[in-house]
Amino acid sequence: MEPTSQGVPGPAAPQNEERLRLLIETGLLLASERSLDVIVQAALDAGLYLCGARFGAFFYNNIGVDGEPYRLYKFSGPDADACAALPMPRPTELFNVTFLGQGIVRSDDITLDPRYGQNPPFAGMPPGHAPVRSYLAVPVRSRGGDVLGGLLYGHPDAGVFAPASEDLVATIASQAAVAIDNVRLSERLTREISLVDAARSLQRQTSNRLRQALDAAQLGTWSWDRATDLLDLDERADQLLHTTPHVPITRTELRRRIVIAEDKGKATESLWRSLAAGGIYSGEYRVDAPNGLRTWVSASGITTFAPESSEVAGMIGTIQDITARKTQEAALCQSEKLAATGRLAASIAHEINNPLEAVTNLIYLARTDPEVPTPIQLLLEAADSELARVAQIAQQTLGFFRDTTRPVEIDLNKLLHSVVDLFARKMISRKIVCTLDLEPGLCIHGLQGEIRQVFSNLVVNAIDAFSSASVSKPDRIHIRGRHLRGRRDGVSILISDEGAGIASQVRERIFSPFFTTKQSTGTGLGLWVTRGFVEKHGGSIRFRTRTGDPSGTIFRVFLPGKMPAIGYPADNASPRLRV
Amino acid sequence: MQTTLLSSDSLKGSYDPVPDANSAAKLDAHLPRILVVDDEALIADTIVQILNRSGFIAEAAYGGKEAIEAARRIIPEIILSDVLMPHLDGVEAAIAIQKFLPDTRIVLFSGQAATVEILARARGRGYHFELLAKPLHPTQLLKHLRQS
Ligand SMILES: Nc1ncnc2c1ncn2[C@@H]1O[C@H](COP(=O)(O)OP(=O)(O)O)[C@@H](O)[C@H]1O
Ligand SMILES: [Mg+2]
Repeated sequence: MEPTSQGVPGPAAPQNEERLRLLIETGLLLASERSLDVIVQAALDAGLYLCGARFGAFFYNNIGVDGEPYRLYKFSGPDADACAALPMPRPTELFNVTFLGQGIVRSDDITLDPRYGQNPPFAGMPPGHAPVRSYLAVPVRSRGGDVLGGLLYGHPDAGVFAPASEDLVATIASQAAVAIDNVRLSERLTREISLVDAARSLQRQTSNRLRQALDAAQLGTWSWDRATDLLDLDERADQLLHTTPHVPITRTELRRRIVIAEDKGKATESLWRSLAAGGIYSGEYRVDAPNGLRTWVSASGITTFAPESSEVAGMIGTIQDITARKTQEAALCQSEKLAATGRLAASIAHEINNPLEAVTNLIYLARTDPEVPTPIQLLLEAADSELARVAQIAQQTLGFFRDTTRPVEIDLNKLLHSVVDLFARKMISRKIVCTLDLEPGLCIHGLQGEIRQVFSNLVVNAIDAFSSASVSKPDRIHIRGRHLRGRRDGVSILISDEGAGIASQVRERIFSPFFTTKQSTGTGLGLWVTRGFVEKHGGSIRFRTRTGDPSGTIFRVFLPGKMPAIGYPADNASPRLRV
Repeated sequence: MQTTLLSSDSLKGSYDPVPDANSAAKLDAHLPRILVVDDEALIADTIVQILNRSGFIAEAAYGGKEAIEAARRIIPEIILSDVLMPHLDGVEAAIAIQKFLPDTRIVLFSGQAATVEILARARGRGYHFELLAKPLHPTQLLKHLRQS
């Protein structure tokens, strides 16, 4: 660089070596600086010093927190104070060259420039100040080519800025541009990082909250891929569905493994329905754990779509254990049903039993009248036995007639024979043979009426178990009674029939009140009452059944020698239906 | 079922007890006297007829008060009484009768299982009554009344 000694104000213009040092120092400073304010000031000051201007200005754009650009400026030099009062430079023709990044303007006397004076402000500098003659303006451009701002220098004397000054300021400008670029970049990075951070913490919060909600509701989550049929389950879903964590399983396999037979169809049907309709899937079904524990679960989900496609890709949803709710519902339903029926039964028992009594008496009178011709007597006999059936049903349904006596010694041999006698006619008409094999001296202590009811209910059921009279061999009912000695002394009575057996899907319900498979003739109360009485006597009732060939059912009643003292006479225990 | 045959009208015509047979029976000291109490006349009347044909001397009363009066008059060996009756129920009437006829056997006869509670009340006052459930087939009833 050619040192220019003449025309340059002596003390202000630094020597070459010094300039170089300053340039390097400024470059280092700018490269390491992260504050826009400091960068701008340092660049401005260095430029001012290097070119020997009386004042300088750095107009630069900044980006606000809202992302909107706005223009700032800084002044420097001995006349800076006066300049501070200047308004922002307007886009005059002269300034446009700089601020649109068209190039460097260096003028020995700007007042002679044809572009000068058409617009203020430099023409209109504050009064008392010499107008700018020497003028140097360098745009500050980013690497990307955007104009970041401009460095403007001035001097009241003409011809102050040599071409070398132009180079120096241009270097400063490019250093400043890099520094500003860096600041911008790091600001943007910081902003983006903080945005990402915020998003992430929101996501964390949301997912925490979701997890909490899921935990509180004991919800597990699942997703299902239609193409592979694979399920993705979270920890709780794994627990609820008895699956091994992280071992892939298909929906079909899972369903096959745990959903109970009765509910299998239900679960699938509901899924296909919602896939077809694209709606919300929800299903409630029972699942069996490997340890045999059975629970109710409720799953619900929504369909998911392949990206930018209307094709259903699968489903995501939640799953929940609803066993408690189901049990409560069932209990509530049953107790309501019982309460309602209890009231109903109480109110109609009287209304039914009295007319039944009257009609029974009337038929008896008619039948036993010697003047009534034989054919009519036969008809009346048939009517009488039908009526006995009605009376039996009414008795079972409406009035659980109970002994008023205290527990007594019951001779079971006698009682069982009399029960069989009671149904002898019925059995003969249906060609059923009933045999008894009773150890002598089967005695228990208990309520006679209730024990009689227990066995008559079981015998009636055994009779009903034969659908139609078989042609080949006579239908058989066998009653076996034995003493039991051991942990608890008592008697064991088996009532076995060779009837149709009990279908596996209804086995667990036969002791429920009102459960019957006999449409018109059944009350569904027989076994419920029977179990109530047996348990009240401290006994137990079990059954084994087979529907194949040969088919049949065995009911086993165990009764302890002495019924427990508790529960009598204030027997508010079973049966619960009181009329 | 033939409703005409079973209606009370057709029955009363055909089966009123023959007065001669009745008075003849009254003379027979071996036949037990029995008072049948029921507010439903059809039940009381049919049972009376059945009993009268089966070796008892039976008479009907249609309420608690009437039963007490009838009991004083005929001094029955057995009283067969409904429980739930208006005004004076069977248990109260039975207790009142038992007081002046301590040897009379009292059998209550009810279409309601809640009778158990009423009986417990009587038991609490020191009275033990037998209880039969309606409907009860006449053969069963006769069997029960014949055994003592
Ligand atoms: N010995 C039996 N053989 C076949 N099925 C039976 C037998 N005992 C009971 N069941 C079944 O259990 C059901 C419930 O029996 P129960 O409570 O006595 O009511 P109900 O006899 O009025 O139907 C019956 O409807 C029948 O399906
Ligand atoms: Mg039954």
